[in-house]
Amino acid sequence: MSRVGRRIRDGAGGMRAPLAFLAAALLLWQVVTSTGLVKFYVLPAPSTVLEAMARYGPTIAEESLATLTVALAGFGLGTVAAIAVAMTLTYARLVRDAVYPLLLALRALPFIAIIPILVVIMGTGYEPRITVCALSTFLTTLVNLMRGLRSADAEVEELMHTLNATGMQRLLKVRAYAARPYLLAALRISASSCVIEATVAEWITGDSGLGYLVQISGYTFQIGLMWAAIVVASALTLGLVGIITLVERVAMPWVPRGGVGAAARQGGAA
Amino acid sequence: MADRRHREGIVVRGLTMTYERRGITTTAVADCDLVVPKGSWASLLGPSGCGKSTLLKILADIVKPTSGLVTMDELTPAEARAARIFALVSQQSTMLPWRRLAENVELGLELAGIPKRERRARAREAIELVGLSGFEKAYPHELSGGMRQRAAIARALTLRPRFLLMDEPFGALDEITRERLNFELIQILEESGATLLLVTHSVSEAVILSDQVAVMSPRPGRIVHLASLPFGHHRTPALRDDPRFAAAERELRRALGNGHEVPPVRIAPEPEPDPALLAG
Ligand SMILES: Nc1ncnc2c1ncn2[C@@H]1O[C@H](COP(=O)(O)OP(=O)(O)O)[C@@H](O)[C@H]1O
Ligand SMILES: [Mg+2]
Repeated sequence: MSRVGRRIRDGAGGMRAPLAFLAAALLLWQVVTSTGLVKFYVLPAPSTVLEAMARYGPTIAEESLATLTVALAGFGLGTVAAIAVAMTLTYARLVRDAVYPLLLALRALPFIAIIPILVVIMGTGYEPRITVCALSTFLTTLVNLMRGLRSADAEVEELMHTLNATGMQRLLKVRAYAARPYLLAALRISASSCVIEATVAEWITGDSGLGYLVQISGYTFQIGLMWAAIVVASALTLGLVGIITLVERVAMPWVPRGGVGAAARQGGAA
Repeated sequence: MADRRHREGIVVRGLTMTYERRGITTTAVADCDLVVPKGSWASLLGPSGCGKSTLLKILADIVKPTSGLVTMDELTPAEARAARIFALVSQQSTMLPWRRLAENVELGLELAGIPKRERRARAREAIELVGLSGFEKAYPHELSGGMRQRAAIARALTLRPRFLLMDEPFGALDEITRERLNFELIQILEESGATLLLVTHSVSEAVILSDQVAVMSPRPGRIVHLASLPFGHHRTPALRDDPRFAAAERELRRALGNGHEVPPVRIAPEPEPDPALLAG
């Protein structure tokens, strides 16, 4: 097996215990709800949710695709923009001094609250939803990258200096690596927040997506479908975060795993 | 011409280094003079905090001196760095955490644009020399402090520098490895004709590895004693049995003792108050 393959497989073993616990919880949930002690609209039985998933499979798939498209497009655009701007700000000192404090202040913006404004500007299509995802990814990733690009130890910088490294060599051989734990931490946060923001934006825009499905199934009192949409949205988030975890394993083979505090010693971001 | 030859090697003249940090000024090195003739070996010996690392960092162009003159073969530190004529083994034996050992050893050659095939070969040779064969693929965090020190030495050796600046490079090594590496280094220096400036805490290591030993006073560091050693460059472990070896060690220990006030020695730790008596 390749080295990369092994690193990926090593991570799978840790899932056994949580999966067993999940199965037990589902069983308990089924038992409790089928006794009728809990009203179905408070908590539908897992079987009801599964039934809805089966019955409305094509609809759920279609709306999932809409949500996933929005989340991924926003995530991708925000990440690319953050990398480009972080590089620019790192090397253009004057621009950084002028612009960066303002960008930091922008983080205080409640992104979800600006969706209605975006809808007014852009209509109810994908554009405002993608924009809100991209904005939040951009700012989260930018702030982490700005720190990450400067996170190499002073001693490493001194070493590169005495070895007469050029600016480009420092970027490619030091900063690009020092920034990785910070970048991936940001991507992990953004991946899950993008699904949340896409879903919330869909309540407001209507039109399509899992958020929209939750809303209309609520209006029509289809509790099973409502829960099914939420379960699928969670699964999307988990899937995206899982992909980021795999990327982490492959992109940072030097970071020790398993020991408490091991990652922190290697300069991993919080 | 005579003047020119006179200034080859390492020349330190009237060097003063004052750090300023949050309003606190520390004079690390005060009016220091030192000449290490080309191809000779010198050691700096002194109590910690006396400015030894600072002196090496000035030579390596990491910090700029407050005043004074420093040259290597008549080049300023910045010029010497650009010409890649020195290699520094820093006290921290710094490694890039994301590079495997072999990649770390190759780093200097890589930055200098040496083709892959050649830098592989030179790195392999240096790794073998410091006894790290078999660990090429290990990441720095998987190595002990002593192994990292050896890797840092290997990285410096791949550069085949004219000036080798080493800051306590053997500090984390066990006695046996340390002595073996001392004599490996002697052989390399003898073959390459490189000039050595070594910072060390160990009096015997200074004697083994030097033509002259500069003893520094406590901060602000000044050279208070300069010992010339008569052992030539062809040295073997038998050197330790030379009666002049012990004499040189004695001389250096005395100079170290004179250079600063010896703090009063506390013979026994203060007795802990007996809880039974306190309670009584
Ligand atoms: N970057 C710095 N800023 C301020 N003070 C420093 C700095 N580096 C070293 N010093 C001070 O200079 C003195 C000499 O340090 P150093 O050269 O590391 O000594 P040595 O290597 O002999 O132990 C110490 O008192 C240290 O605290
Ligand atoms: Mg030191």
